[in-house]
Amino acid sequence: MKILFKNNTVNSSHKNFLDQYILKPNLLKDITTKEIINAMNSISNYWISNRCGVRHIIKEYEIGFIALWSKKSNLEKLLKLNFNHYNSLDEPVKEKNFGSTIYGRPLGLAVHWVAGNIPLLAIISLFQTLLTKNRSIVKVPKNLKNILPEILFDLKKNKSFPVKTKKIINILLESTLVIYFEKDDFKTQEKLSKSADIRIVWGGLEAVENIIGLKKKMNCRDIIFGPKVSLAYVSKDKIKSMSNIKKLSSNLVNDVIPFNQAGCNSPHNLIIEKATKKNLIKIAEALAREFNLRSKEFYLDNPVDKYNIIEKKFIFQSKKKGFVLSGKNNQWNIFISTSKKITIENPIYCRSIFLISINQLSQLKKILPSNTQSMGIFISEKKKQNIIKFFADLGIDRFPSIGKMSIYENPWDGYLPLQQMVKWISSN
Amino acid sequence: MNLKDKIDELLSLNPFQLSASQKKEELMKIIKLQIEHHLKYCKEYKNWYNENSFFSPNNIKDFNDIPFLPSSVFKYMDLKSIRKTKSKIIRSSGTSTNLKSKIVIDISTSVNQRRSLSKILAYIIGKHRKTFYVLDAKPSYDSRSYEVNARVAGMQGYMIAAKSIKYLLVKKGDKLTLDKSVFLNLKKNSDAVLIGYTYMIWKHIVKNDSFQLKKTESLNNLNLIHFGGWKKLSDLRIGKKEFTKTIIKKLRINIRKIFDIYGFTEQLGTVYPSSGYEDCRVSSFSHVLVRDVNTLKILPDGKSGFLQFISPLPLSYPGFSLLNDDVGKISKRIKGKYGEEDLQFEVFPRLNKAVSRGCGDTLPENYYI
Repeated sequence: MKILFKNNTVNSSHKNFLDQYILKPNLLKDITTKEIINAMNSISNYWISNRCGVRHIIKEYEIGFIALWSKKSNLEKLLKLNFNHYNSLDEPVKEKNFGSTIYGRPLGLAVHWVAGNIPLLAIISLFQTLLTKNRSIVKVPKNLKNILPEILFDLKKNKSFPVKTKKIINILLESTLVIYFEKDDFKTQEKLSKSADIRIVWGGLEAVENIIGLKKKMNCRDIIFGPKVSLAYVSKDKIKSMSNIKKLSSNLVNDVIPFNQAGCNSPHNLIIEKATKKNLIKIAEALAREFNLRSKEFYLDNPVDKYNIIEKKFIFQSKKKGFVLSGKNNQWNIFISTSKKITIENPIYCRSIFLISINQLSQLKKILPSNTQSMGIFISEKKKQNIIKFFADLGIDRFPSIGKMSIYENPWDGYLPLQQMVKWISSN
Repeated sequence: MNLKDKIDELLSLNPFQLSASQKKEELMKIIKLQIEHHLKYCKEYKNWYNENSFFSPNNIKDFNDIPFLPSSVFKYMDLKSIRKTKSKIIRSSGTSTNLKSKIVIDISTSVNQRRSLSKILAYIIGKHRKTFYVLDAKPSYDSRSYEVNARVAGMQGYMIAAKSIKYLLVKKGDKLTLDKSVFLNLKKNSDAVLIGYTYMIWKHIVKNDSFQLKKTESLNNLNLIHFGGWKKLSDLRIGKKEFTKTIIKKLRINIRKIFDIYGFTEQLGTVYPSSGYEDCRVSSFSHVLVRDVNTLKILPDGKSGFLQFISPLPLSYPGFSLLNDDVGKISKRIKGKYGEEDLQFEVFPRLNKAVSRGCGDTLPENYYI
């Protein structure tokens, strides 16, 4: 077990440090939500500025969005969506409609288990618990273990923040611990779980199952962001004009390229209503043009994913399921299904998309993966309501427009996460 | 000369005799015929070949040009290059995906595999037949059965070089225990072969207190053959060096007589023995290339990538050029004393198969920094 980021230097073993940190008082309770918002806004400005000491990390790991996400306007919107009047997180507030007084208090200690695929998650997850005044421990994955500590150390070192802001930032940093330990360190794993008032778990099935199976406090709340997949749907009226097809291609590539398609909100299947073979080829060619324009010369892809692509291409071509268009070195891949059997394919990542045509929505009923998170849509306004109703009943959580699928927003996976991070005190 | 005759001709040679250029010449002739054979008899292979801009067989000039299938496709598809004829199906052991490869073996392919394996075995342990002590219980399977699992099939292949077979383990309920009388017999036999899956050797010899030599005893003349991969031992963080050292200490065996054999179900027969701490050696009956995991281009020696295996043996299924998800590197390529090729490769622990991942990424449309 290794403590990667701790604000205070304590001359004791790591093990003792973790125990001491768990028992520390919550300093966040004494500052206002507005002060936290303003501090995060200053951090956002710093990250966008030339003074930022971790620009290389932000660029390399594609985490620039965190600077926009932590802007004051965004945080205020987020809090309003979750709490309506967020000043009730700072003091008891009389609820006009019911006449009672409510007061939102942090639950206490939030423990985050962050997945290895998307580095940005660690920061967003952490900022959400700090925003709701919960002290936090972030257990980072091996492949990302240096990123979050470096970002936080950079904030700690920085002297350009105004004194008042720096004071709040220091409280935020003192309320944060970043930790890494090996998979088989069951003792630390269980200690974290037993100490948590909120367990926030991002990860694949195995990781999530392992964590939720650990002992926990009776009133601990679990916020689980487990394995999900996403797809996109286009209605037939939207593929009539070439300009729409171009727009669709450009927007879909926006959603496919980020983070090597590893996010659960990245689409892997594009379903088109009543498309002919000619339509599918036209769309595939437009997508291919867009991929060629936008793909980087080289991607450091996971070898397993690259192998899976070769495997899938062989299966697709040898069974004559359709055609495959690929970029240089399989940097992107479009699988065009011409088979009568409608199949939703499993993700193979590395900018790969499966195109299928359906005649009726009902064809998807039995084959839609039960863990579908987002369905990106490119449909006319008049159809929108019905389509959302149809697929929401099948368990889909989000219906962003194609091109905006990758924007992190609230609700997420069916949650308004901030709501789960406070408890409500009442008085009538 | 037709394909079968060409393969026969190759298999009549000493397995570690050809120079690199001689091997290339012989193998290339066979592989061109192999491609034509599978284009003719395997519909799926033909579909795939035609969909891609591969060279026609006659224009293939180099190993690099030989199209390759990912070996994993045998887990998802029935690929065969035979019409109605007697055949057996070999099923591999489940890997990380728990799916098993299904390989259709006809008589010709089976004969090729046995000839290749017996030649390679004879080269490493000598032509003189020996008693094989198998570190397993006697299998209870029906030899007339249509399907054979790879654990049985893998072991069965090696028995071709055995004068007699003795099983060191006995099944007691669900457990395997050491048959002490066979163990005693092994200690007395100075010229024998102890054979087993690598993990079984670790479990039933290294970690077994009953398998203990007296201070004055040694198994210096014993040949130890182990195979089946390192996945389970890697999970225990035990590498080849530690394994070999421990075995030498426990059995007091000659390091040069410990053979770790790399091979896989999709290309039975062409095996790659490694002696002691050395890496896997490529015979004249096959070839190994290393491809970049991203570009799939051939890599220079010493660089790691996916391993491509070329074996002239399979006729009943299109498995003569396969890309494995094993990552490895060419560790030695020299000319031997008599001009023969000495080509060795190292295999790294197997990649984990991708599964559905954890959630979440975020990126606005006007994202830039």
